[in-house]
Amino acid sequence: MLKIYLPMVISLCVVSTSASAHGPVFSPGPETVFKGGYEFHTDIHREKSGNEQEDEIGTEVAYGITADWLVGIGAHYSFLKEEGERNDGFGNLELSTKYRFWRNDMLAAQESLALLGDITLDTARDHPDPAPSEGATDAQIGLAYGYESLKWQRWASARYRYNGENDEAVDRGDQVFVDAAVGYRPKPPEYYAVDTMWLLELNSEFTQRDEQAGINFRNSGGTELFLSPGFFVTYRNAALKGGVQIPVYSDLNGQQDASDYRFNLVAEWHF
Amino acid sequence: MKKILLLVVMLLGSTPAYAADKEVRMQVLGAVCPSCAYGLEKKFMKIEGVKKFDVDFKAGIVFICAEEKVHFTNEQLTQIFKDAGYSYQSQEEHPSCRQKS
Repeated sequence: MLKIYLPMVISLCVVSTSASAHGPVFSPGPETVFKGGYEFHTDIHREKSGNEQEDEIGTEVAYGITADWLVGIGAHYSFLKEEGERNDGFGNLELSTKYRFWRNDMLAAQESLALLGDITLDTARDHPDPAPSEGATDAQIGLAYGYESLKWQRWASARYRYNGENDEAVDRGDQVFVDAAVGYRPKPPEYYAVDTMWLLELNSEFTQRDEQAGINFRNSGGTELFLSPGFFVTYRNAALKGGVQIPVYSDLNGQQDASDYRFNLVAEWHF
Repeated sequence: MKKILLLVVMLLGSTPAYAADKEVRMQVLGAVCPSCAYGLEKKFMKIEGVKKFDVDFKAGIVFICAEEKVHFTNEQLTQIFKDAGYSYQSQEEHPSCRQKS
């Protein structure tokens, strides 16, 4: 059963809320939307580890309360396949917020820091096999830094995710994510032209063991590190971005399949 | 020949409308990406009399082509740029609009 659960646990962690067109693909940036503006985002996500493959279609709508404060709501539908067996269904509803508390505006550059928070509600109910998060509400807080200039950009973020105790009294291991990313824009941006940027991210994930009645689950938790090339292309208020997470280091506890790869493609509109 | 005459008449007819337009150039800090500047376009294009919007990211200048009657106070512009996530510096008016975009 845990084999079925594992990718779902991972998926809850890697599908990032608080998305932004002009940030990295697999980690959050401090970017927000303008006051009164909406950000509509839809994504396709795949992750494969051993015989398990999970595909997800997600969507999120965010609203700019101010130019520095964003709130959003997101949901996804997942298609899980493991050794010929399928387990599809709606994932949990996610509420997210981002508050950019520091901004340094310069000529042709901007540097900023934002606080991130999101809550994953216990709303998924139609999986034939219940998800390990059933009965649990999870929460995540984090800090994101970003510097953007006409040619080079850099980002860094750190997040802590509290995974709640589920209906089966399993206390799922909490997680820490630490990310760094650089972006390169080959051509100076023009307002009425397509803007392209190449990205390279380093994503690390540290997961504690799951626990039940004080006993640790042997085959749970561990560390994974990914190198993630990606891109984004924008034209005024429309954006397309994508990337692949390639595992470069894995130290998972017990017998667990390490990640083979993860893939993300995101389309986004601001209006 | 008729086509040429028609074109001349159309051009003559349209010239006075553009002649009355002016350009407002606003110096801004923090403007670095086209998709982020969309919020500015949306806010400026809502203002009556504003016809065109463009940004020179390298120079940090936002260009507005607007009817002669359009005037902005510095307080107005500070608020518009603040709501879009940028820092407004200054403005200057020019008697005619750039040809670009």
